Amino acid sequence: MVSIFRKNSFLSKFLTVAFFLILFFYIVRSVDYNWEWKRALKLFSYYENGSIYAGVLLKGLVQTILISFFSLILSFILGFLSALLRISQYYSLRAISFVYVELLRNTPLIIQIFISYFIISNIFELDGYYAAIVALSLFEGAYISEIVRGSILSISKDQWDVSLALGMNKRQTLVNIILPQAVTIMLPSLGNIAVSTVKDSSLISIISVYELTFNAQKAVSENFLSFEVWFLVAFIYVFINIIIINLLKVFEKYMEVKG
Amino acid sequence: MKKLFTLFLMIFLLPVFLFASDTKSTLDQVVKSGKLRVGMSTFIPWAMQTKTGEWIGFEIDVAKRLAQDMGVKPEFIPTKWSGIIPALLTGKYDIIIGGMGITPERALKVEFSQPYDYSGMAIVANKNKTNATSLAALNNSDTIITARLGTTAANVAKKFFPNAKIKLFDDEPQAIQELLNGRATAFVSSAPLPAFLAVEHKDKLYLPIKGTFTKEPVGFAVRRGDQAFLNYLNSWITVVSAEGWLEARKSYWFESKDWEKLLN
Repeated sequence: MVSIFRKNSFLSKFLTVAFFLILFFYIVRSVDYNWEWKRALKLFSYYENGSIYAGVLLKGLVQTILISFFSLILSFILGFLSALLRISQYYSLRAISFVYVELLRNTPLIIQIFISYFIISNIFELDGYYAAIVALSLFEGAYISEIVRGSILSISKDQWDVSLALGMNKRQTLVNIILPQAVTIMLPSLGNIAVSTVKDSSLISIISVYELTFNAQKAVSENFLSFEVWFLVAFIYVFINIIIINLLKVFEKYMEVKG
Repeated sequence: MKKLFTLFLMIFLLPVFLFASDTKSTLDQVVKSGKLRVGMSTFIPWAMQTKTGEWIGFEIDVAKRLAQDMGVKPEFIPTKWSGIIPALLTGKYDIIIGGMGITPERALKVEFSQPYDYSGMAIVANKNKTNATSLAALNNSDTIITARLGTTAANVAKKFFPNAKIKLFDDEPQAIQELLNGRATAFVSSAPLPAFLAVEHKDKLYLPIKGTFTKEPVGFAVRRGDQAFLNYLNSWITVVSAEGWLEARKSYWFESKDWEKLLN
C-alpha cells in the first residue's frame, strides 16, 4: 500500500491534485450560493461584436501594476538612501534615517494612506493616485532601509579594515567591496518586499483609487458576485506575484554566477 | 505516510462539507437560539453609536421591536456596507435591517420583505466649488461627486451625473471629508444626512436642491428561499404600520433632533 505513495510517483501527484480539487469542489458546494462564474469572468475581459474588451478587473490590474512598479522604484531609492544615512558618521543624518524608519515601520499602512491622502496631498493638491504612490513608497522604503542596513552590517568588519588598510577610502570600500556582497544577501528579502508591495497596494482602494481591489469592490457592490470576484481577484494577485518571484529567481541565479 | 494521512483527512472531511448545508427556516433557528443576529451599518440617523457604545437609531428601534415581538434578543453585527450582502449570504447574521433600498440587482441575490419605509436621495455641495441650483448644472466634467461604495447613492450618482467624475469611499466620513476639503463638488446620500451636513457646516456647504430627488422603498433582506421567515416579516410590517408605530418612530428620528443629545 505504502509503495504506491512512493516519493513523486505519478499516483501521489495525482492524489494530491485530486485532493485539492475535491476540497475546492466541496467548499463551493457546501455554501448555499448560486455560482455565476461566467458573469464574473466578463468583468476581466469580454468579447463583443468581434472584438475583445478589457473589463474593470483588467483595467484595475493595469493600475495596480503601474502603482506597484512606481512605488517599488521610489521605495528602493528611499530605502537605499536611508540605509546609507543610517551608517553615516554624522549624528544628524543617522537621526533622520532612524526617525523615518521607525515612524513608518511602526504605524499601520492604512493610517499612513489616510494621512497621505487627506492631509499631505490636500496641502499639495495631489491626486489620489500620487498620494497612493507616496504612501506606499514611504512605507516599503522603511522596510528596504532595514534590509539594506542589515545586509551591509552582515559583511564581516575585517573586510572594511583590510580595504581601508589597502588605501581605499570609505566610499570606495562600500561601493566596490561591501555592496556587491551585500546585494546577494539582500536579494531574497527585497523579493519579499516586491511581493508585499503588490499586495499592500490593495489597501489604497480606501482612497477611491481605481485599482484592482477597488474595482473588484465596486463590481461586487453592483452585481453582488462577491465569491466569484474575490476568488478571481485573489488568483490574479497570486498570478502577478508568481511572475515576480520567478523573475527574481532568474536574477538571483544571474547574480550568483556573476558573484 | 504523508500521503496516507492526506487520504484519511480527505475521507474525514467529506461528511463535514456534506452536512455543512442543511436548510431549515431561519425563523425556527432564531426562536430556538433566542437571538436575532442583525446585519447593519452606521448610517445617520438609521444606526448610530452613542459614546457608551450603545446602538441607537431608526433601524435599531425597528430591529429591537422585531426581536421583542419574536421573543428573542437582538444582536447587532456592524458590517461594511459594501460587504453587507455577502455576509448575509454566508450566514454571518440572519437579516439585514439597515435601511436597505430594494433594487432589482440586490433582489437577484437576496429576498426582500415588503417595504416598511421609503427613503430618498439628497445632495449637498461645496460653496467654493459650485453655485449650481439644479442637478443638471452639476452634470459636467468639472464636477466630482462622492458617495459611499455599495449604497444606492453610488448608483444614483452614476445615473444622474453621467458626465461627472464619481469618487466612492467605503465609509461616509471619508466621502464627507473629501467634500469639506474642497476636493469634491458634491456628496450624494440618503436624506436627511445631506441636510444635516448643510446645517452643521453652514459656511462651507449648501443644498443645491431642496428635499430628495429619488424615492426608494426600504425592506428587510434575508437569504433566498426562506418563505416562512419572509411571511413572518411581512405580517410583522403590516401589524406595526397599522399600529402607527413605524410612522411615530420615523418622525422621531427624521423630523426631530431630540436624539442628538444622546450622541454627545
